[in-house]
Amino acid sequence: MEHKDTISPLWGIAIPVIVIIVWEICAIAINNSFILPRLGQILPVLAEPFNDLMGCGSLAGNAVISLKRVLTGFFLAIAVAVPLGMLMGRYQPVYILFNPFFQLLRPVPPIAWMPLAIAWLQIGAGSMIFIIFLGAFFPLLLATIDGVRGVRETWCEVAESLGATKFETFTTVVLPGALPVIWNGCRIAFGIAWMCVVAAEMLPGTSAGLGFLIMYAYNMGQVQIIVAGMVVIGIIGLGVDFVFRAVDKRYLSWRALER
Amino acid sequence: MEGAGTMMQSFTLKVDHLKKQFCEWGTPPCLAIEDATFSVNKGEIICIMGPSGCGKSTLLRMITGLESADAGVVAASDGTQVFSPPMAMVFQEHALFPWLSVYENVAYGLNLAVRKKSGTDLHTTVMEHLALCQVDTFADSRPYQLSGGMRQRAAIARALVVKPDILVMDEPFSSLDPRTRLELEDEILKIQKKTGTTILMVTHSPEDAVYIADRIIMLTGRPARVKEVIPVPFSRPRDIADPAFISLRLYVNRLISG
Repeated sequence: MEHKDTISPLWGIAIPVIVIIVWEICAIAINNSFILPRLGQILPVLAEPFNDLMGCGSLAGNAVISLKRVLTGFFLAIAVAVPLGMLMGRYQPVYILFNPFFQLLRPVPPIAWMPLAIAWLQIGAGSMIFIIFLGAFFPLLLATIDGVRGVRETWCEVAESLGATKFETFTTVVLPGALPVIWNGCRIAFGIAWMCVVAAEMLPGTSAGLGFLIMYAYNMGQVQIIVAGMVVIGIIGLGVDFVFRAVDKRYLSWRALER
Repeated sequence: MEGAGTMMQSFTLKVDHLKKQFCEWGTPPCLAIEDATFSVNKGEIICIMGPSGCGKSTLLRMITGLESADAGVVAASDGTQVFSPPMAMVFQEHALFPWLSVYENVAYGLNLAVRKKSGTDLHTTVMEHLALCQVDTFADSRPYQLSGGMRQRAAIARALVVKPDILVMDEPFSSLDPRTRLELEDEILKIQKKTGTTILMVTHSPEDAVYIADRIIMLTGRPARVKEVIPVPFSRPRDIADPAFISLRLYVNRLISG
């Protein structure tokens, strides 16, 4: 089958392959593994993700630690942002009360909260989860408000006219009606949360996680471990995003199909 | 004006001096409906008509309780205030829940807490109503896979499944082409004959109204009051080419335009 102006999705791997080849050529030319390690140094690290590295645990083990932190912060953010966003999207007084406050906090980068987070929650998982929570909270809140506003009033009135209570209308109409937009917000929020965890782990005082592993490898001059850590971060981010999109396509596609 | 049609012994619904004002911040209150008074007899098909923007939809929403009235009452024959369960509403278009299948849409009302423990067999009831409205072959389809006419049939099934005393419809044909409209009107007449449901609908088409209604309630422009109640004396099936039909249609048309 031939389509005008379209190419096979397999072409998507072309640029990564070119980058890897150029990387390798430059690595050979520079010949300094502190600047550009060769593929032959990076791949063995990636090939054995369960091997201990520099006494700091394995790639996989640190990835699991980072993922646990990010999921905790992410689910906390969902638990707060989605109900609050639904109320803000549906009830104007709630919106008026909360919106200026959140708009004021929103431009502050999550990492800027780190000193306060450490002061309040001490160094460790607590302060990192707080940072992740903040990173995921705002995109989730905005998406939920947006999604709820996109719910047709007619749908709610149908429910009411059939005898649904306010609460039933919320759970059986507003939530499913807003879900595609909320889900997209989750996807964006997870991406930000994932960036936050790695950044938070790079700060002094942490002792595990992919961000920590990368910083430790930097201090030890193990550039191949830095690059391997970055590759793992990228792969996990890509994998999670793929799951988000697959669920969207399978269960939430009605929004695109509804004219 | 009242009782211009054939008065029956008991009426299902009495709309008594309903009034509605719209108040918005910074603007003087605007009187939308001055006085709506009429009654709807059991098993009747009533069409509410009027110039565009006269508040037909607002009136319908007040009757179903979706909007509150500033004065007046809507009462059932037994004297009680009527609220939504005895009435079910069909909207203009795009009112099916797009994330549910047609079957799940129709089952929606039966899954609500108010009816959950009534003990009726959900599946049988839903299938009966899908068949009644002739959308049973689309049970597993999603609303976006359906044509406009089929969507409205499904919407009617969803409303009828809760066994409303009155089926309330807000311009249910407005997004359909003429051929589909006629088909759907015949379908509604058939359903009405089978179920005996009282029907109250808003339409802007004189032809629809004269074809389907027992009586037409004609409203004036804003602020709306009842201008005239027009009985439609023709037996069914009605012939849209019949001279008497045409002259009544033209009469209704003249009333709307002024």
